[in-house]
Amino acid sequence: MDLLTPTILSYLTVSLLMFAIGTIGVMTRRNGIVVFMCIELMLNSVNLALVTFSHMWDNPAGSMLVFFVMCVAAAEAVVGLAIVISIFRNKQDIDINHVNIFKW
Amino acid sequence: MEALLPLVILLPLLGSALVGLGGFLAPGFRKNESLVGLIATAMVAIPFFIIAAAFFQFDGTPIQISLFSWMQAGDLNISFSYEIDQLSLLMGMIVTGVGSLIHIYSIGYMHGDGGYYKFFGYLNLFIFAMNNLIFGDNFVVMFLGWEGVGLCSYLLIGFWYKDMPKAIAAQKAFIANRIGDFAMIIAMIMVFNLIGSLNFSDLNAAVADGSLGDNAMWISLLIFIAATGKSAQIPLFVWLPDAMAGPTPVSALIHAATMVTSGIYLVARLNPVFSASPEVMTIIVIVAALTAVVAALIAIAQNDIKKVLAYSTVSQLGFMFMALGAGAYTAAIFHVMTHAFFKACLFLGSGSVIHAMEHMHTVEDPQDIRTMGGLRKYMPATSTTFWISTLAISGIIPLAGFFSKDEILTSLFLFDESAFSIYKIVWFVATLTAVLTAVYMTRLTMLTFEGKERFPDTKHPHESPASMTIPLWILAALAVVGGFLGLPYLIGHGEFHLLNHWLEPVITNNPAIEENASFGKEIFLILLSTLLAIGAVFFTRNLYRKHGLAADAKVKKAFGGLFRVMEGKFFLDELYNAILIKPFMSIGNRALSWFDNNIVDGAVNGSGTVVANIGESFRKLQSGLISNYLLIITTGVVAMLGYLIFG
Amino acid sequence: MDLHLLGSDTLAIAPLLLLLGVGLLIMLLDSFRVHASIPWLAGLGMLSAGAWAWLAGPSQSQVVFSGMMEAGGISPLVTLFLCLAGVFTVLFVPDYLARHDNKVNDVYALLVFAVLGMVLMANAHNLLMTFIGLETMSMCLYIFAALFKTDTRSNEAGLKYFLLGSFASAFLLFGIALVYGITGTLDLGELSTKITLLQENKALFYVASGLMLVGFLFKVAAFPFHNWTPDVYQGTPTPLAGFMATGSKMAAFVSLGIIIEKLELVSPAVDNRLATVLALTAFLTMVYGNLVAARQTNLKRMLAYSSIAHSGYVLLGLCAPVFGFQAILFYMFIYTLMNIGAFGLLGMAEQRMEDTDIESWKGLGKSSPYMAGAMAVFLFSLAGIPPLAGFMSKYQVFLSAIREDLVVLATIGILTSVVGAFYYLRVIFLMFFQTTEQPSTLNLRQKMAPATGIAVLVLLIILLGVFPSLILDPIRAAFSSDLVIEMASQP
Repeated sequence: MDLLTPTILSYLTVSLLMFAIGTIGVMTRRNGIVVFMCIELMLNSVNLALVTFSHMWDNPAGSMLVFFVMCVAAAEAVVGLAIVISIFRNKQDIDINHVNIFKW
Repeated sequence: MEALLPLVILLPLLGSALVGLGGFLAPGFRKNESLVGLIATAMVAIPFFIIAAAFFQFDGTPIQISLFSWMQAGDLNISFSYEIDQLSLLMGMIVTGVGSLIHIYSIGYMHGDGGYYKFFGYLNLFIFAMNNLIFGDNFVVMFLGWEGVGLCSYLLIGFWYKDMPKAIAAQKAFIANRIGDFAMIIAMIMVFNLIGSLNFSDLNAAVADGSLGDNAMWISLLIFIAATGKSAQIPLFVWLPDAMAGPTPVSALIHAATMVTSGIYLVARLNPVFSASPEVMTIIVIVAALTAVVAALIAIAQNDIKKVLAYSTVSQLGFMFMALGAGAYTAAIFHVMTHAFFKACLFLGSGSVIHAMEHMHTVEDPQDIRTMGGLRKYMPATSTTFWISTLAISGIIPLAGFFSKDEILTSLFLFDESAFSIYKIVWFVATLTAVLTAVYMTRLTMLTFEGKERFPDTKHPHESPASMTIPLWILAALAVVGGFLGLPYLIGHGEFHLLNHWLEPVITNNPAIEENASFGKEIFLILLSTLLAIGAVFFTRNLYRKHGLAADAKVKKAFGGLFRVMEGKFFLDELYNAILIKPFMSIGNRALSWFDNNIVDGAVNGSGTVVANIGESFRKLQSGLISNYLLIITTGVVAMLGYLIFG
Repeated sequence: MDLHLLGSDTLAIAPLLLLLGVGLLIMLLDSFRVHASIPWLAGLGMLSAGAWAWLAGPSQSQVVFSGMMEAGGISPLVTLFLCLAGVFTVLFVPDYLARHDNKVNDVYALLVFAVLGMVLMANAHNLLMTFIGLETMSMCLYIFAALFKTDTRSNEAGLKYFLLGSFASAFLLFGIALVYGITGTLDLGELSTKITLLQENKALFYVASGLMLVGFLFKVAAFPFHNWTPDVYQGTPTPLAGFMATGSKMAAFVSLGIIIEKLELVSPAVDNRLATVLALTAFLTMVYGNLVAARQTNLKRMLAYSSIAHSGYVLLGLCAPVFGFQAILFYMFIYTLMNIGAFGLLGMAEQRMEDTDIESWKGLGKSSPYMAGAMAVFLFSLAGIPPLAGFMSKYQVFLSAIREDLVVLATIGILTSVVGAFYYLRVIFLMFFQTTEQPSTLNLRQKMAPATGIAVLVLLIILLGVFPSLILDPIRAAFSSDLVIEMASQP
């Protein structure tokens, strides 16, 4: 099995790009929700890679993991949004750098 | 008999738990001083009698006692096992014997103190730890005791912790000991790595069959460094004088008779390792000689009765290490024993004096010998026993100190045959120190007990109660007869050196000493040290009898510029402050300021130096900003992957 | 694929099912407003799950549930330890929440589910399960951090933990995906047979294992992935912060240990670059954690940094295969006892979330001698002072490192633990040796449940310090029956 066949490689490139975009987004954006969306983007890029690998190896394990990742992402969204909302209620602000009571 | 031996270890622990926890939980028990004292004393006295019985029934084969297996990791098996042999029995007798006396003494001395039960709880715990140190047959049990005595010492020095200097003295002792402990840990790691076992017997066997090679040197050096902490040698001895902040019985028990000699005990226990590394022996003998003479010089210029005794202890420990350095291990143990007798007696005597001075309320500092004088009239028992011990430590024939000290001096002199060698210099320094010892001890005793009273209130000083004077008499008696256990080689060619015969199976002394011995040299050495000691005592006595306190000025003049250095304790505390503590603190502060907002802010605004800039960037590590955290994580990931792929 | 899911397989994962049932039952009871019994139910549920796993678990290691889970070997013991962490935590929670006027009974359900996630993670035999376990656990912990909805501190802790945590799990997931890409399997057993395949794609394998390492190192708060720890612990309800610091770390370390064993990440047979990374991380974590902890003025924050330092010691153990793994399991169990105790006591002392200042512990030795004494035991043990259990656990880890010739690293560990002793002792010094005119302002309420918890923990710490073989022997026995780890560890 070779990772470097053209079709596989192009899918992986997209996946890697998405992951990089997500990472950069996480680091540069300050809006809590956008940062969270970027993390979701990273997760989804992994999903793409997983599906590709699953196809490549012709076995379902990777695709199975994708479903679980989607579930986890949904659950994370629930928890994350709840946290963001409670912050917004208290501060009317979701800039991630404005929550810094704790430091040093 | 053997069935009783575990009690030696367990009873003090039980006593500590009973007294400490009982007092803590039951206020009624706490107030019952006599019961507390009785239990605590019994828990040390019973082990003493057991050890004594074992001592006299001992048939020459070491007894192994294993309480339980502590941990087993692969090929390493460490158990709470103890070895009863000649050396540990002797040390055990000293520790529990002197310990019992000091317990009895403390019953009177600590009377009325709010922490009475706590004091005895700690004291029993100390005996437990010390017994572990002595009887343990492997490094781990020994180290447990080693740390334990350190902890008890810390607790007892800081016993009156509400007084800030005393709490600080306790910390100083703790830190100095930790430095030594670190060396001990490294030594243990080395030993385990080299021979795969932490048993003393295995280590000694490994030296014997030569499998240790050069490593013996490193191990012995590390153990010696550890010993400089616990046994107060240069450069770590500074904690011992400060440790006098603890109650006086503690000074007598821990900081004179037992704990501080544990370094010497350990070296003697591992004597094959040390004998196999002559370089380290030379280091030991030099360090010890320096310690002895420096401490003796400082002692001359001190006016606090306990400080004089503390420096004297440091100096005498130097003597013991000199003996070790010459390979005369038996002489060192001999001196440990005699020193335990007379120094405990001196400390307890000083406690008795302080007790009396405290009752007068008119004296500002109850420990200052300048405000004493003429106490013999009021405290005959204390003064007589104090005099006996002073003469013993000064090396007056035929008291205990004479024999042990003479043996050390002889060993140093006979170490080699050349007329001018390191050991000859050390011998000279040691002889000089012996003279100084006689001088400062006589001065101390003269100023305390003789001459006119220098305190206004002549009604109040009174002798201490019997519970305090009886231990004094017993110790003084031991200080008189203790020396006969080791009559010099001269008499019957070592036939009557009982201690030597007793310890022969476990200790191999440097054979060169015996080979180099000749009748003429020995007679010369004995006469020399006898004459010097008697001369020094008489000279000092006459000086102080004639001039009283004013004699100090004459002494000061005699020493000239050196006296200021002696008074300032060779400025070692200041030196350490300047070269170690201050830089450390300032570096520490600077490093810490990286993490500390306020300090860095000040520094940045003020100077903008490189240091502050680095500090600023460090501070950002934990800025509280999520973005920064994310950035740091990503940087970490990138760095890690970069190394993994390209590194 | 054999389908005997309802037979012995079900029995093998019965503790998990029990935990799941208890969690669901709590939620059900809560909605029927049956509040009083909930903490009891949670505690007893976790206790019986742990006991069940330990007493009835298979002795020889085996793979169950179509290769998803491991049973036997070390897993019963790990399950017991994790459940005990939950049980000890639950003793402190009700009192704490009542004091903060917060009656969220979901906490207990979440606690049970968090333990469930940890057990899943530590017993996984498939990277899929590892990931699900980790996320189940993390999700509960995120909510713990953000528990006090109206408190901005709690909000902050929640947001920080959540964002950073899910960021790190994205890396972990990517690593898992790459491992799958190289080998075509997520099964740990199968993976260990394909090590040669992994080693042929060395660069990719490095990236994959490096990324997975990031995910785990984040969970255990290793430098430089430690940032969240102090901030999150400080904002989390104190007993739950103690749980966070112990249970999740134990699960992550066990899981990481298993992955390291099976993929031979630090095996000397392979190129040692990963071992270097691990060793370097251990070094940095020990140094950083201890140095910064020494500077803290807030006790909770100090404990957080100290937990970073402790992770460094455990990582040191991870660098040394087999013996190190045994040592860290012991270490993590002891650490769990000490830390839950310390955090629990801290929780009992605080009236409001912000008063965890070290200064306020001044003179506590006078006003509450028992509690101060218990705290002293925890701190002495954390500092690694014999004869307490903390000494024994440190000793085991350092010993295992020395056996693998990591002498330099072990020496650094010992050195930093000396530094560490300083800041623990400072607190003890404040409690006992600092006299103040007025006694400590802390009012330690001694409710039955937390006081019992403290007493039990103190006793265990002393007992295990003197008789460590009580735990060490079962651990050793578990490892010797764990064929998979034994085989993988033979070079």
